[in-house]
Amino acid sequence: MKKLLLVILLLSLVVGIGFFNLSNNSEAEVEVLKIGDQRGDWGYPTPHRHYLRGPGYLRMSLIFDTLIWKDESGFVSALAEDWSYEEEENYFTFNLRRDVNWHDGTEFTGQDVVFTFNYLQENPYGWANLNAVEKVELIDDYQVRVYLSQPYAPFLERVAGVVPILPEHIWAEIEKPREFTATEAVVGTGPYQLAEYNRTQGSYFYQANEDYYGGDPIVEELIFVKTNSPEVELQRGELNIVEVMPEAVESLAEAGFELMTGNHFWANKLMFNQHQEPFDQRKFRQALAHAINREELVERGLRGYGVEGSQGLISPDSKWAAKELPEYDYNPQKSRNLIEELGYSKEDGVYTKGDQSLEFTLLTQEDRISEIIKQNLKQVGIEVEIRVLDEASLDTKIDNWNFDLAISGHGGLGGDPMVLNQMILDDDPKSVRFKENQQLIDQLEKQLTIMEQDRRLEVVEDIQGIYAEELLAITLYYPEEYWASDGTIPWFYTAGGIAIGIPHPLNKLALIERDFD
Amino acid sequence: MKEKRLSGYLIALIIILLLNFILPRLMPGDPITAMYGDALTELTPELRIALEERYGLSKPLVGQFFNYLSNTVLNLDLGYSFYYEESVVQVVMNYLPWTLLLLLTSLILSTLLGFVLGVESGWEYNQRKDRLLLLILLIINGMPGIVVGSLLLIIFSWQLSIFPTGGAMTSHASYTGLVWLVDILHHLALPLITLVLTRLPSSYLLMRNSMFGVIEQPFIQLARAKGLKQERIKYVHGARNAMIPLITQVGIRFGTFLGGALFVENIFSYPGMGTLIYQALLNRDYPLLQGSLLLLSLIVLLVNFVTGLVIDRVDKGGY
Repeated sequence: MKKLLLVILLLSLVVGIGFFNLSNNSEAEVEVLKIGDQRGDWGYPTPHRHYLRGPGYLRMSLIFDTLIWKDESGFVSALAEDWSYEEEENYFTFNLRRDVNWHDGTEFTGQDVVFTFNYLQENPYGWANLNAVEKVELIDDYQVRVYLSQPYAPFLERVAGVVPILPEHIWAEIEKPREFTATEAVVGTGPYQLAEYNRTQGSYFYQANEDYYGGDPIVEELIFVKTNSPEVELQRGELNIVEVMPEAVESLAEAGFELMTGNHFWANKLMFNQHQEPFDQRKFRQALAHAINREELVERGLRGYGVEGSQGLISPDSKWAAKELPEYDYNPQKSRNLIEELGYSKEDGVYTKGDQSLEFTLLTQEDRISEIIKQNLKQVGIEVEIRVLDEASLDTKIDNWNFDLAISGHGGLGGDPMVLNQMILDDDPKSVRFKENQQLIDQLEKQLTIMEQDRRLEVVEDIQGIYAEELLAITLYYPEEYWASDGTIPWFYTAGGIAIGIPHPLNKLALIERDFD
Repeated sequence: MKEKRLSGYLIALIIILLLNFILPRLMPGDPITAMYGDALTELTPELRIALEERYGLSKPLVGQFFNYLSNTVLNLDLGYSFYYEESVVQVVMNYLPWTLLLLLTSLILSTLLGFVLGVESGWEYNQRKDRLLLLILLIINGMPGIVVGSLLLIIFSWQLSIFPTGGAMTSHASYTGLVWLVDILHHLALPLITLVLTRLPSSYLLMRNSMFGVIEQPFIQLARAKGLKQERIKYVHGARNAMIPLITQVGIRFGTFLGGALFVENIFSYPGMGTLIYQALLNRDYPLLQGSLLLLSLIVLLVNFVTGLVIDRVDKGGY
């Protein structure tokens, strides 16, 4: 009898799963979806209180919508139904949706948009630089115009697609947004509402907004939890999607999990202190590029999970990547020749010139990659001593030009090519902060003002060419990140990364039935 | 004597206050760069200045120090966490209970277990039972906490799925009553066992040696001559006198033990002070570091103080 019951139970389970899979294609809802994360806490999901990294923005973006958003192929409408650019007067017009309510039932109008831009100019938000916005005008309840102070090509990708629209009726009175944690602080128009946030446990609990204008949420309850063993918990069925170590990819694929790898929008760079001899000489920097075996870095250092760096910085996956760039093949002999052309000669295996010998300190956060670089350079005749630091120490030393060589990385390489300006000119430890090539500066400034994509691309390609020629840092590689999921949700990678370029699959559009395109 | 002890504590407190301010700032790296990291790409110079202003980082270091001192000592105000945008006390109160739970349960368990095993072992010094216990505990003693913790995690959580992989409770499960309690104990088990195992050998060895020293004493002989029951002699007459070093050790080594607990928290992502301090360190969250370290130091001092009182009592009550 018991056996019979067991068989019936098993059969019904199998049928049940089959039915579930079938219905998944139509209208089925997932009751609970759990997403794991190694860090857990990314701050309270309001614009001013989430921590300013990608995962913090993503948690906030479930609640707050933007004017426009991106899916796997590019911009899609969000709070704005459509948008257009008026070149002569330099403004963007956004026609807003009329069927949108805030989570508390209040109607959303253009006034909220105008308010948000004004509010964020007074209370800056770390994810959106509004310096290019001159004013925002309400034309009627459902149409707004954003006037720019000068033509600003990154506007859609960096502003309209990033700025979370806030409800005026709640935020108008809030003078200190960084201290605003009341329940009204998480009233938005997005597909999910925050039900609970637990900082200590590093967890978030969201419930679907059944009235979402953009389509029905597929998942009823969405939970983010902290995990220190993502692969284990995924396999146990405790989590539905997690980021996993590349080394676990094969066994997870064999176990039937869906594996996703994003674009290569994050780069690790070898930075030089170009204010210091001999790094101030382009020829010497080029000699180093020939000395470093980037293929070995990927194959041995990353165990194959990555792509060699392009010296134009922009990832080859990006639509903005230059087709042709100066190349620096791995060629130790060529490297030695270049160094000797600069007047160095070898003494005990190390190049010296006068009292200056080529012995440097390499600052880094981890040592596997640096060991390979050390060996590569030793082969040429350059001695390197490795010093491992945490990120904050490393950034500060680079910021103060208190280093010889350093390995440091950053993302944002798939989104708007404005990242080139930030990583070449900005006063930021991730940037090379190089202002000596006027042609480069001119082209960088110019690319921001060209609203037409093809014409802009020409300038952007030119910039990458000059950058590769100057070689102010060696782009070492773009590592691969992997996500594994149990297939409950058809996740996808967003064109150019989510918002300003977050290279995660956790786009909120994957969680709703999309019907408004 | 008492005054001398108190002035000792006062000096310790002053040194702690000083170190708490100086040490975090000796680390290279500034809070804003540390916290904003990748997002620096949108950190405009104006925003940076506003943040420095907000966090009081634009003041000279001496000014910051006097601010800190007057706030901490006069107003008992531990300041405002840069990273969490909340008062340090509020932040710490979310994490401290978990550390205390882990710390106290493991302290009590390891002391009790060490006490009993030590008494049994010392009583039968160099006999079979003693030698077996000694061997087992010396083996455990040879393994660092991180090895014990990782082994437990891999075997009992990853492989056998008996215990959760980390955390202090199941998130958003809305458990209540007994289920809630069991859930918490379930999460507590592995870090607790790790800590008990790492501390057990030292309390065991101490108790064993001390017990061995006591059994030869005349008052034990006397008790035996009186014809008292073995268990009574062992525990009331023997162990009571032998336990002073064990209590002293709880006090003296409490600081080290606390350090160990903070470390074990990180292995099991247990949301206690260890996890909090580690994060605060990476973020260069000076006020949070100062506040957390100060509170923990105060707890250690308090435990030392209480241990002193307990020893006085046990000592006086001795035979």
